[in-house]
Amino acid sequence: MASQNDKTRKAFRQGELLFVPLNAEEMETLNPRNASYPRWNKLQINVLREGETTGHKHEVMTETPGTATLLAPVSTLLRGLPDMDLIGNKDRMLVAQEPVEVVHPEHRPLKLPKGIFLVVVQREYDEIKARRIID
Amino acid sequence: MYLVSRYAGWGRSFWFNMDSGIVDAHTKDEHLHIKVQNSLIVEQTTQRKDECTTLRYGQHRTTRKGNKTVKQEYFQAGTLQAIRRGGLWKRQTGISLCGNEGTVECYSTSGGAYGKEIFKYDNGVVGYVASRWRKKLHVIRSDGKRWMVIQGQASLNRGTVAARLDLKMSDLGLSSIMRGNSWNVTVYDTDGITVVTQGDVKNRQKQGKWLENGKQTYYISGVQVSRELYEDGPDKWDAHEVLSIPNAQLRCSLLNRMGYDKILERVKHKVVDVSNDGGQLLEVEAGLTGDSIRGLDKTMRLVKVICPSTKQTYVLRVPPQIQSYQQARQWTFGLREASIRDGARLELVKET
Repeated sequence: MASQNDKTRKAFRQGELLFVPLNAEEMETLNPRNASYPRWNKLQINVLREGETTGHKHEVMTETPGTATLLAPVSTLLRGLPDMDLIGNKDRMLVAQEPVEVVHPEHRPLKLPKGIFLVVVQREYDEIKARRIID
Repeated sequence: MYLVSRYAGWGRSFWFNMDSGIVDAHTKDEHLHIKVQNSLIVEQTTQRKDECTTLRYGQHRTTRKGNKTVKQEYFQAGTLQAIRRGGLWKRQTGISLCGNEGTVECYSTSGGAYGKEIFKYDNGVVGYVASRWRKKLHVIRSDGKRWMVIQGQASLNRGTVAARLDLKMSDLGLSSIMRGNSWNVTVYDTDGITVVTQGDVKNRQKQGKWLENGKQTYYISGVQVSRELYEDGPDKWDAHEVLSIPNAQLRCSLLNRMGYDKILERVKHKVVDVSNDGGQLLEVEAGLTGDSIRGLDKTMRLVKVICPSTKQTYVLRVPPQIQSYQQARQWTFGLREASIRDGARLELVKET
């Protein structure tokens, strides 16, 4: 969450994935409860992202089943956070009702506190437009 | 002990002190039975369908299915659920390995660490003996023939090795079983002689020549590549082509094999900015020739970053107007260029 004095926002990172904590107001902006159409769909899996070449997955692990939910945008180019790029179809939202651990075979486990996170894939320039990193 | 009810509705929640007694709670499919002595919970029983688990703090936890005991765990006296030291601390039946069921027995060291795990099929054949001291893990089929040999130390924990072996996964689940970052695996056919899968894992990534289900495959830092690319070797690779590979993982693999310095020797470049942590912002000539380059950038701005977990060098392309390493890094995080210039930034509190 961005502090009022400067535009610095805290985030966590595992490999190419960035976990940006959201407050209730930002969550409401990204996923309004009274929206005329759903902007995010609930996923029934715990996989945040799967490597195209290695098949290695970033997975969300919880102590108690059902305490973490993953959401995927229903369409691309949804409005993102202030100062940040539009939401891409590879981006996710993670709602953790208790501390969770994100695991990946090549990276050390990342412990995240309870909260809501926008999970953004790092991007790269490809001359025409920025694209999400393919791994 | 206090018994507290929450979320029952306004004025309906309660709490009261309890010194000794029994608490019974029922839901549609679960029955919870708690015994309290001298204000402490001493025993907790959970009954669900035909499964019943009894937990006696500081003593044991037993799970029964019907009349059969399927799991027993023993705890160190004076603790709540720490494993019992210096002997058998868990016995679990009905565990499947290579399509057959058996029993796992887990032993601890005198210091209370996970020491040894033995899997025995129901027909009496020993499936494996995994211990923290052994540098090789042999896994045997129920007919006594070899199934798998893994060079490397197994990492023992509360879950069993048998439950973590997963043939559906490309790494057979070994990432969660092995301690350290490097191991070698050999999988044998049902005859116990013919090798069907064999290869090395280095830094938790498949490396070099692999035999996979009888087929020869080639890996560079976890990425499967063609035989040609693998055998040609880094000396024959075109540095511009390597830097232009769209897949970041494959680009990283080839870049690390070729060597970052060697790549830079072969392309015209200038260092635009450097950081304290070894990162760089580079401008590299794209190496484009011919008539088909209209509209394409003749130079590429690349930011070199080092992954804190794998220590591998990654090179990501950033827009040509980016002027500093920090700006480039922030841009890859998804911040808009104008916002970065206005001072917006993401501060990473934890990276793995």
